[in-house]
Amino acid sequence: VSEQPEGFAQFVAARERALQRTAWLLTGDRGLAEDLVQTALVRTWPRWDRIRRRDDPEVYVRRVMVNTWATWSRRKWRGEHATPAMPEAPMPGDIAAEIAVRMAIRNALASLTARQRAVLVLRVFDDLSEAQVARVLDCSVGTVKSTASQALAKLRSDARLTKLMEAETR
Amino acid sequence: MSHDTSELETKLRTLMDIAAGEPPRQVTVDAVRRGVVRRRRATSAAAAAAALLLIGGVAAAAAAQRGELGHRSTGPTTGRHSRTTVPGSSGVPRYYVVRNIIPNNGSTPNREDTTIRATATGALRARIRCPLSAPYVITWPVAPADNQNFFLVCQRATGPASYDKVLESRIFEFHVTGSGVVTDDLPVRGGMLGSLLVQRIAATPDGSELAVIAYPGTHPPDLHRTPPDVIVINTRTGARAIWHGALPVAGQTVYWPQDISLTANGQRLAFLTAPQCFQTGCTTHGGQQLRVILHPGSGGGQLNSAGLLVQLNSVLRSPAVSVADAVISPDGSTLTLAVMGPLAGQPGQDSVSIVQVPASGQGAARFVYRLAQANSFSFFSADPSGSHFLLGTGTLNGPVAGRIDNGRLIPLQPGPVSVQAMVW
Repeated sequence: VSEQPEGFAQFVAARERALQRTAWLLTGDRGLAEDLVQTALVRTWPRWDRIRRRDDPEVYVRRVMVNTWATWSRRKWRGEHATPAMPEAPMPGDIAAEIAVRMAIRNALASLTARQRAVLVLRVFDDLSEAQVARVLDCSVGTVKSTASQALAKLRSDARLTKLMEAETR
Repeated sequence: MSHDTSELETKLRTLMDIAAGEPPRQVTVDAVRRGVVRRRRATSAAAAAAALLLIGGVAAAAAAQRGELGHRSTGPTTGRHSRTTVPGSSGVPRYYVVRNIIPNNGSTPNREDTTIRATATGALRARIRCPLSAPYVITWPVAPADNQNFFLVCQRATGPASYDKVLESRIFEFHVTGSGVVTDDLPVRGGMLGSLLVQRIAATPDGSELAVIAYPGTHPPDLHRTPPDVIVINTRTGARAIWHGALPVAGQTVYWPQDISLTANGQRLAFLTAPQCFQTGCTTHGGQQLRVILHPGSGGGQLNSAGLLVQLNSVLRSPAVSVADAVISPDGSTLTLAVMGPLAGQPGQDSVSIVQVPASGQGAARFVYRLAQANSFSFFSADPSGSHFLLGTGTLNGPVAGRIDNGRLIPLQPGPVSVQAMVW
């Protein structure tokens, strides 16, 4: 384990934040997002040399993230939940608008199925091509297209999100 | 894809970008490496368990064939591999561990509980349980390695009270994930301490070395008259070095430890002590001291042979103070002291202060925090970086417990009345 695979540290340093952002969109929770990225990287480590040689590592990590999250979200969490109390430290700047966007996106994504959510995040946010999304999710390009279309149709009916998108246009 | 759809995608991408924000840098290669180690350990433990079950099953089948009674095989213990990293988180630790009392209705004794709480909100995230199965198990003390890895002493006792005998002590390591889930209750190599009563534990930030203050637990010990030992454990090899407290005999000054701390490299063990003289013919050498053992893990010996690091009354320039707790910084350069009583130049008789002094004993003390009109002390804890502190103090009627932040004490959940101790 002390033998760190070549290029792994550079990959983590360069892509960790991008992966966390994707993970947040998948999970809707900062702590879970961090756990998801960490778990995906832990699972990637032993296969790193092989992945580097034959594949795009990021596609592999994202595939592990999506599959891991699918497994986690099937489990029913019976542990304690955090209280809704706000953090004690005030945050700088006007964060009300940002929080409104965050809540709207989180709720909108939560209304989708796990597969629709994964397709949308990978296709729209991570800007992967339909073929790349199909590789990550191990499905056909046609399935990606139809799933993305269904997901977007569902989001169009989300009044709160539509309002925010209209404001974005203005 | 239609124009409308691509416009929708563009807007959605912008909103997603805002929503995803800029996460703090939390996932590092070091953290991933530790995860790989834990995963391999868990896999080998599962394989060992499966092998034992298989062997047990074969043995039971063989015994049944011979008409003998089968016997239960005991659970496996895992070996620890080395943890080679030293994490360098500089932020406030995300979680803290609390030992608190849960009052009962009066007819039954109060229960005690050890939990993980989120620093930002005080939210309860997890309850710590020991893997030992017995009616009375004490889940304390706890020491942090890095901010999300902890060492826990599980002590099986004959009853719920503090004076009940300890029958078995064992150290476990657990991990708190980013979302506050506790994983991996793994037995620590060299952490089986028999029937010793463990009062304190300290760990290096990479978790490679532990130190505990332990008393004989086969009978309820009188902690004021029983010499404790300091046991230093190398968690990679399981090797132990035992530093014995001197017996309370006439003519001998004894230096029994009140608290212990380790530098990050494990090369220095500092302990707070009040020299004691049980009978005539010796001296207490001017009050409390911090003494140091160099290379504590390389071989045991007598605590009395530890070198003097600082004479506390002298370095604090005040004869009327009492040091309730003391920790050495990870680099060994600074001592952080929890002091009760009036310090030089400070008004009032009753106060509790957290001050830092150079470990060389030369130079001025620096105030980290001071609470005037405080006359009680319950706990003090420094995080693995040595820069964030938890404190329980106040008065008997008005206790306070929280974290020190820029000279202020920010209260932490649960309320101080029920809190016995907190560690990062």
